[in-house]
Amino acid sequence: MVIMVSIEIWIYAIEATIFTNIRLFLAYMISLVFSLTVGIAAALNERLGKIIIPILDILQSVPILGFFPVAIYLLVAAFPGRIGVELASIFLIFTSQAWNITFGVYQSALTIPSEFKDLAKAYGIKGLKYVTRIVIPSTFHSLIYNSMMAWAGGWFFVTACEMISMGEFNIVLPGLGSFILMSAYKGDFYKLAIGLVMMLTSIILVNLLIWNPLLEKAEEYREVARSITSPTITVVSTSFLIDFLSAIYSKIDDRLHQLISKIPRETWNRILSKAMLILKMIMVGVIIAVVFLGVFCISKAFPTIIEFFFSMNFTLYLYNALTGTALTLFRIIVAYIISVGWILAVCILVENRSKLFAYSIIIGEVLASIPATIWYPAFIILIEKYGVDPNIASILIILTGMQWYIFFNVMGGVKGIPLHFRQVARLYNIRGRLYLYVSKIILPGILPFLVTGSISGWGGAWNTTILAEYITTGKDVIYIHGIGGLISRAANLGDVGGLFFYIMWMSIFIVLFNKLIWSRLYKVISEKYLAEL
Amino acid sequence: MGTEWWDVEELDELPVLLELIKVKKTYVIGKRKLEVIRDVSFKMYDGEFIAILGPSGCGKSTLLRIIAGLEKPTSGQILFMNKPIEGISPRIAMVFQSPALLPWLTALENVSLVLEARGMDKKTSMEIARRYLSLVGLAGFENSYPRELSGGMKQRVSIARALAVSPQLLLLDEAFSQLDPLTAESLRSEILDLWRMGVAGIRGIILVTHAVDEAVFMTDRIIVLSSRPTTVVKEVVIDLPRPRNRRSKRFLEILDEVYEYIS
Repeated sequence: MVIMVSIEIWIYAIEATIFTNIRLFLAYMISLVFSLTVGIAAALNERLGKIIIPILDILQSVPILGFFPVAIYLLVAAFPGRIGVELASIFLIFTSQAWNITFGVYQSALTIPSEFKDLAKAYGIKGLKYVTRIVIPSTFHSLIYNSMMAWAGGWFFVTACEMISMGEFNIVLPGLGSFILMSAYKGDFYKLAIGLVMMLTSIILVNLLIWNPLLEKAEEYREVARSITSPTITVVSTSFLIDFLSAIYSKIDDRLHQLISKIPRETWNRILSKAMLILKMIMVGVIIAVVFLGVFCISKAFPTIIEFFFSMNFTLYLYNALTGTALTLFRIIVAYIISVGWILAVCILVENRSKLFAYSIIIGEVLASIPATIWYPAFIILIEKYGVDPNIASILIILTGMQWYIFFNVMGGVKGIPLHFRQVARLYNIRGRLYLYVSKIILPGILPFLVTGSISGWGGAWNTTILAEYITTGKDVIYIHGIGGLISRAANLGDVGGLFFYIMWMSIFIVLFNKLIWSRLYKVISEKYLAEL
Repeated sequence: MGTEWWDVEELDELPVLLELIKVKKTYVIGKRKLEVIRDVSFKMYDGEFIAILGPSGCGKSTLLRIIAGLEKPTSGQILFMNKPIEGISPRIAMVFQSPALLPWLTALENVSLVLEARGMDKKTSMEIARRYLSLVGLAGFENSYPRELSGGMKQRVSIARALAVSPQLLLLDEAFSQLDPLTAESLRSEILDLWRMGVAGIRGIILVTHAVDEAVFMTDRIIVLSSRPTTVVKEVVIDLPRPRNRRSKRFLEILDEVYEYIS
């Protein structure tokens, strides 16, 4: 066993941290551009919205981790070597971030206060000016809040894509995720600790230097009477950074406006209609190309598919999928009950204490970023040596992928309860009776947010089952029967037919589950409670 | 009752600034029809300051939004300087009930934004915005954000924004109703001063309000509306010289007269 000189380990860990942060940053930038353009386009153009939102809805509920092998195959085929794998990892992080932010932007662009819409209409503020001066600032709060969650989610996924093993296909990208996982698998606790310290440091630094000041700014933009005025902690003043960013923003805005105002109106209209035409043609072209490519691939691979089809053991797959889904559903429900329980308790505890509230957000932010997979070695020891029920391990891992979506949404919701509700509660001593206070003031206020968080949380849970029901550190493997475990096992054993079948099964199941249960629940609850706020 | 405004004959010789002809507005909500404005016709003359007065929820704000071009009437016509209004007119500006200032822009940027939206370059629009802010008494507050301003100051920014686009018709939608009485009163006299000085080339002001006292104090003529579905109940000409004394006998007589129509 080679023992590295500790300085070298630190240098290596710092390097790894930088690599991982760059990956996260690039993925986040792509998510940001994607969310702003797609979210705003869907909100401003009703016809576009009708196409985009259902697609995003499906993309959001489909288990991303399950599709990761497909993305790797395609991207490595297109860009051989490390570039392809890097692109695949950025792509995976992107898919874990983009949909949530996009929905947030869409929702807030759709609900711009009517007085701002009237103002824009009455004074002829339209086109680009409308987007840059009214729409984007209106979505700013939701954008930052969701970005914070997405950044944490990115950390959660980054480990999954820095160490990829599929059949004989094994790739390790240099980064903090792989550094932590490798150390954990090897049982090198010294290195594991270094890795965790680096991770926590970079999460906390990014939080304090970037997200918190931005959130503070965003609170100012909302300018509504809030119950807790400023839930942020400022350790280092980075207002210069924000001033700098907003100066750049308005510079770009002005330049664009100048450029456009120089073009005569008629020419501009012609350019716009041409651009729309070109955009439509590109869209049609893309659709044709996709269909063509699909047909081409299928026809090319037709013999293999046929062979495959007959070799597939459908009865076994179906039996596995049915029993697996039932078991997984049970685990998710247990994890959900645990999540909601502790989150409500914390929420009631901190809702009226602004300092504590702020700290709990930061702690949540840090804990949410810890990837589930680093617990694998611990769980393997617990299960194999101490005979702990694997179901418990599985539920705990599902919990890590589920609870934070609920946590952040509920915390955001409780902060949004109008000040006068609380004042009424204090004035008439409703506060004195905890049951009354929680059931009549707090719960109705957070219910819509609890449902929104639950939808994302369940999405996260389904996704995490892929990690939670197949616990492996390379040598040791513990398979826990469930639909997520089936996907993982099929991917690891190179059972392409099974992989395909189980992913499709899970995707369709989730979409149906969302449509039949969550969407209806959301509609009922948001109609009843959101209007009153 | 819609014919009663013909009685006001002596005004008929002045050039007409704005004319509403049989304006109707019905909202369709699902299968239900909600008739908000049944039939409103009136004329407004050049150089007039009129009030549209009616009980709460009578559709007077809807009427103003129709004049501003923010909403379309179900039927009827609106002529502005003898031409039908279609959509938003750049010669009409509006002050909303709430100041409707963008919290991410300074007072100056809030005003200059509407000038830039009309194609003016940044430098000129900033200059003009500065001038109008000082006109409404906000010199020195150009770089303040709305959250740093009091309610009255915010509404002043909103007024500066409306004046800055040099409208010919200014619409005030219950512009004083969200302010405390003292602030509202000083803002009222400032608006009257601006109106008398002929600032910004405004040729007419319409004030929508449910405060009878405010309408009698400020305007030349009151158009009294009924509750929903709205029709014109009466037009009352206020022939008092300005500045008006709220305790004069004639003022109180007119006040009583208008109260009778409204209740």
